[in-house]
Amino acid sequence: MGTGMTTAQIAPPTGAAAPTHRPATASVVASRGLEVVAILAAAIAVWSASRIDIAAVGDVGLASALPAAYWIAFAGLNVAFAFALARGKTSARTMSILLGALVVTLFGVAAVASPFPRLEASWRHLGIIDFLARGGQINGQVDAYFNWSGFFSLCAAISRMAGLQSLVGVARWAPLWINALWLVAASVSLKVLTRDRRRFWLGLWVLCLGNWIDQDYFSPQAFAFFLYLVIIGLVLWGLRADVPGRLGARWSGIGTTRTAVAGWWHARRPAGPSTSAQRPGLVLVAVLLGAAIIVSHQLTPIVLVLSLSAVVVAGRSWTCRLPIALGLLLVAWLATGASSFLAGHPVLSFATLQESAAANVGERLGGSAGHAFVVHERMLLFVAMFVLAGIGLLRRRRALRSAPAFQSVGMLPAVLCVVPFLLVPANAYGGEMLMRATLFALPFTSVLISDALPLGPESNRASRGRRPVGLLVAALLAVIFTVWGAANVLAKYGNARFDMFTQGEVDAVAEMYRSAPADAVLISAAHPTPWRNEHYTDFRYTTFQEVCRAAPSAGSCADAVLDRIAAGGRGGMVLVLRSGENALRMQGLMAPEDLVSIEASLLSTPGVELVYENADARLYSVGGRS
Amino acid sequence: MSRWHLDPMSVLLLGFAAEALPILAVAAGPMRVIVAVLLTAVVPGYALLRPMALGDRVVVAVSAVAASLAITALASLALNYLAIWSWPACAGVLMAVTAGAVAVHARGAAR
Repeated sequence: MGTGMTTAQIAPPTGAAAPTHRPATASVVASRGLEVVAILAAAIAVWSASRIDIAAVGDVGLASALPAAYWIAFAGLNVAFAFALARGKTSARTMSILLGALVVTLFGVAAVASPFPRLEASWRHLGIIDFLARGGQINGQVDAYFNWSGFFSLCAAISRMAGLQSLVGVARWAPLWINALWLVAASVSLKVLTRDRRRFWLGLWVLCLGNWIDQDYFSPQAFAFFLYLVIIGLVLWGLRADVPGRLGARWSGIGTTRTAVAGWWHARRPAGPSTSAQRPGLVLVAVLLGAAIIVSHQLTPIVLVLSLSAVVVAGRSWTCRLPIALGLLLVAWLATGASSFLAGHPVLSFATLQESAAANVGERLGGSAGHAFVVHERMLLFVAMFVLAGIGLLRRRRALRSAPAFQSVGMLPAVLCVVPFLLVPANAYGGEMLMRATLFALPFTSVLISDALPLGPESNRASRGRRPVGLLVAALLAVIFTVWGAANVLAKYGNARFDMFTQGEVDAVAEMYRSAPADAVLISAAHPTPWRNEHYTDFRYTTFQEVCRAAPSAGSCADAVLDRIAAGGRGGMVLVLRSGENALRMQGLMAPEDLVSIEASLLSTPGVELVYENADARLYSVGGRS
Repeated sequence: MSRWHLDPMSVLLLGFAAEALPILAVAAGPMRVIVAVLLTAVVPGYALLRPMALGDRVVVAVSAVAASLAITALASLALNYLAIWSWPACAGVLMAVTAGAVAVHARGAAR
């Protein structure tokens, strides 16, 4: 009796209970395993990055200095994500942890490797914030930043309320928290634009892997792009519309073009989950965010108005008032707050295709072999991303035929991908327009790329998340992610030899501010230089690059530098940093021996003396030193 | 019937709005940073979004942060242009926006 009774008690009463319990336990174990792998990978990446010596980074950037442990951890993370996709039922929590680990691994590297923010622009932005936080008045004549001061004023308020004297630490870690904000904001759009839960997570993963554009530093662009993503997300989530039938079909009937368009427009029906009571509120929130973008950044509001207009023209927006309202606000700001800058700088200045190509691509191709390799690799990444997006678009079009309910948003990623590139011929934007357009398109490119990757056809809502892909496909995805991610690290941190700064360089800049007479001319060898984070308007700043533009030789460049300081009438300082030397050499702007000659010429001039020197910097005082 | 309905979250938001400035004035270190971040990057936007009852948690969270930062940027910039910028003035505007949004929600809830 005992044995039989025991067996009966252990065995499940029906076939249902035990089989569902066991896989559930196995699933939990697998999920926890993936989470552990993610956290371990991020920890190893952080540890690896902490061992980097910035001064020893080569011409191909940070990738050359990262130890093997980093790459092994990075590969492990991508394998874990591919496996999570293959399981098909991984929880949002596990996917979020994997994604968080990827953000740390990709975007936290530089912050761990150096105690200072990357890129000169970060330091400059800190200087404007410092100026405003000290009660400085906005003067549009100073430079372009003072015509779009919203972000700086925001940061000044936060820093003073928080009792922080400096935001250097915030700027150092900015890529980490900015990418996290971007991902959460983009997730709202991606949720609408993808029907399959796996492609939603894949799209976010691709968004990280594809973000080599390096606009995620402490900047108005990063802030404005976050708000841009939120507005697009709100429009797609709560303000989207569906139109029964195609516009073209309405012409086949009786009536004019006007009546056909009017009929098509009025046939729109709200398609999002929002109610009629919520939609006006969503429009007001979008206008509020749009207003903050308009006062913070030059380019983003134009892309925003164009993108929203495109969504309206496609008949996928419940209201046409939003782009109109934002367009009017934009014009009002350009005519008032930004009028000082616009006096000599038109918003749109159409260039020929050749001029545009030269500004965005051609002028970046010169320099050392390592730098040229990185630039070519970036171009290859750009092309590869859009080829993959094109394949994804074709696959999406085919999939839409069998999913009519999804057609209201089906082609919107393509629309939102293309619109930012309309601005490429309209304004060179300092040779950065192509990169900025790529940034604005990136979330939607990621959606299309996720369609191109081999994950099997999109499942419908009923079966979403339950269709496992084979291990072979998972292995292929892991390889693609790892190679792509490595290419991202190479492209993103390819300028690390000159856009990351050492303690010695920052010390030299601090010494310069201590030594420089009031209103002096401060001349650095090249951009980037970690300066202007304080005394933003107290000195006149320039570089050899700018002063010596017309100088045919090293000797005449030294003369031009001295003339520039003499013209200022208050003396000056000349700063030569490791980063500047590398920038000039790697970009082919000046030969190292020319820089040596310039310094020798300066030192041989009466009134010029070397006042500070360390392994990474030399500081010269030129006349009028206090 | 009362013209106002204050639910626990409304009371919490109003309490925060009332206490933020005194805390910022006397606190230091991490406490001050946390209150400053809540006041500039979370609370006003969340208070503004509550009457809309959007439902989706991610949409609410991301919109609350974005709206708060937008309000802070616009308020701070306006004070800059009016040449009366100071962080207490800016905090005051954010507290007023929060209180106003809570009032709107309380009136709507009472109906």
